[in-house]
Amino acid sequence: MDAALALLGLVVLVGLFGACAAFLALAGRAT
Amino acid sequence: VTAVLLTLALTVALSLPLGAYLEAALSGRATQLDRVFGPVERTLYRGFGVDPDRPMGWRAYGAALLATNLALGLAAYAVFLLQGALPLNPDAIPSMSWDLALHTAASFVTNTNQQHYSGQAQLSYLGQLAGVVTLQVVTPAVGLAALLAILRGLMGGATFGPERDERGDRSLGNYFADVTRAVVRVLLPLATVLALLLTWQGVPSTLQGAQVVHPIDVATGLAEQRVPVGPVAPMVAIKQLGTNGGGWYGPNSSVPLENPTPLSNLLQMIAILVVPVSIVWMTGRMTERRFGHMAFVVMATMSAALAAMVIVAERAANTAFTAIAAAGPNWEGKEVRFGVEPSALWATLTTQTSNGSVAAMHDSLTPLGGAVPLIGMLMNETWGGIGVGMINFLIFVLVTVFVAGLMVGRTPEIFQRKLAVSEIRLIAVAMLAPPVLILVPTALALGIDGLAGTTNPGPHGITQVLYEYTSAAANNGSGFEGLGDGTPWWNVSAAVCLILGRFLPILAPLAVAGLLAAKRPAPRTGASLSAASAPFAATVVAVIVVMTLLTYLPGLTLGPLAEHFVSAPAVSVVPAVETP
Repeated sequence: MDAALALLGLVVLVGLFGACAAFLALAGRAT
Repeated sequence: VTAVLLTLALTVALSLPLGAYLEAALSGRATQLDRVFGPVERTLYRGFGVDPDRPMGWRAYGAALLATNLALGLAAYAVFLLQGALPLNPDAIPSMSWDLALHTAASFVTNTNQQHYSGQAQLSYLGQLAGVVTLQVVTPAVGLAALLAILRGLMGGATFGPERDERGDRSLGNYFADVTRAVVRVLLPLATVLALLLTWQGVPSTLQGAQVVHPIDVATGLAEQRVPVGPVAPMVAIKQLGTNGGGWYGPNSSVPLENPTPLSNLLQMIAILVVPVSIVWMTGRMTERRFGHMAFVVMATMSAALAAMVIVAERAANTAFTAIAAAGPNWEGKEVRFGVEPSALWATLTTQTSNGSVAAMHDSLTPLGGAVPLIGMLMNETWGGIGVGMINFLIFVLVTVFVAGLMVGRTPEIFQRKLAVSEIRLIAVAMLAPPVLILVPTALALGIDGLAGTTNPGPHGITQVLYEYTSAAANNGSGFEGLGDGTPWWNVSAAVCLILGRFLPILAPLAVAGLLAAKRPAPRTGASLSAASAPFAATVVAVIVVMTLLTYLPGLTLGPLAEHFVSAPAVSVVPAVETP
């Protein structure tokens, strides 16, 4: 298993949840 | 057809008491059930170090939901990535590649269960139990919890515990308490009963490795054959009851080991539908009874229309085959043990409910028959996934309230709370997220050479790609199949659709519910719009159909509709072969 690719998958997964968290924060601020 | 009607009648009959039970078990009010389940729940709260009585407003509720799902997703990713070196792997199954592990983790943490692998060959028992079955139990509870919070918000906030949280937001309940109750009081007891019934019917339920058998038919030339088994029955039980989908075996419930008898087929079809239907009754009990009746009538009407469409389409001959075969049902890809109609019914129920487990090859449905599961996923609210189906329905109800308000010149309101600009903006996000997540990657996959990996040219290939992204964004998980979808492009792009398609349509309505909870109830007058009348129900149906067609008709035209019209004339120039 390539550690760099495993890390890339981790970054994508965390990034997608981060995008959802950003939406939550944005919705909280806009309202 | 008798089997179809029996399945639907039994499901509706069971859903009525189950809906009442769901309300009693999950509403948060004190009931006798606390005595039975309280000790188990308190042990879990202590184990995880959470306070089930802490009030949560919409922001705290949404943050807790995202944080716990991220933790579950990371744990599943690690298990899939390392399963080759971990225990409970008697068949020495290797670890997954990074992109397949990413897609599989995203797929199961979003209650989708889209599979770009074959379960029996690429998952160890630890991967199946810790990575898959655990998420199959927890993720439907997450959807149910989100619905409970939204319903409380629509009705003015939680009626138990402190009124506001630390941020000052009106309490919508407690996320951890809602998820725990859904798991302990609903999903685990139901899945245990169904797993025992399926084991009785012959579905494997063991931790032993693959069984080695010697084929009776010597003509096969095989000295021995390895038959993969495992704890299949518990997995099948929760995958059906939790609108999870997927399967222990790649071809899901068309494998006799996963679905051995007509009774196991009937039990699984009821299990696919019963909880989503019960949630409609639960919603009525938590809001207004007549609202629940309206929702049931709307969903049942559309569900029956979709079932009729796919059954009629599959009873006809495939137009591409009429030159070489006798007219009659389209048997290609069907589960021949159970027949064309039950296979067609399964195809539409599994896509109406966001389940996604299959019992026939959707790629082999007639062009118009194949459009039906696609439409079920595009609408994604009849009956939809556990909790999230009703959330999607509520989004359409709020749009209907807004449109109806515009038509009659009154401020739109629901459950005595007025909708304003902020709420409509958030509803627009929830409405627009799925089409963006479906249509943009479909266009990219089809527009860039070498990405799609379809096995068919022309309209059928377009349907294959559109179906895959629709299945991901709608968190359905069923496969049309015929795609080379084990590539980094497919795994990563589908993972994006899976996660954003799951959480944006949950978070936006949660924010709307939080905002509505903070509003003073408007006095009910004779001119107030009733969200439980027959005209309102008809308007909801019209809004759902028009919005879906406006958004997706171009895609449906290029895919299944074009295939239907292209394949039909071809037979007119080929002389028919007479059959004896």
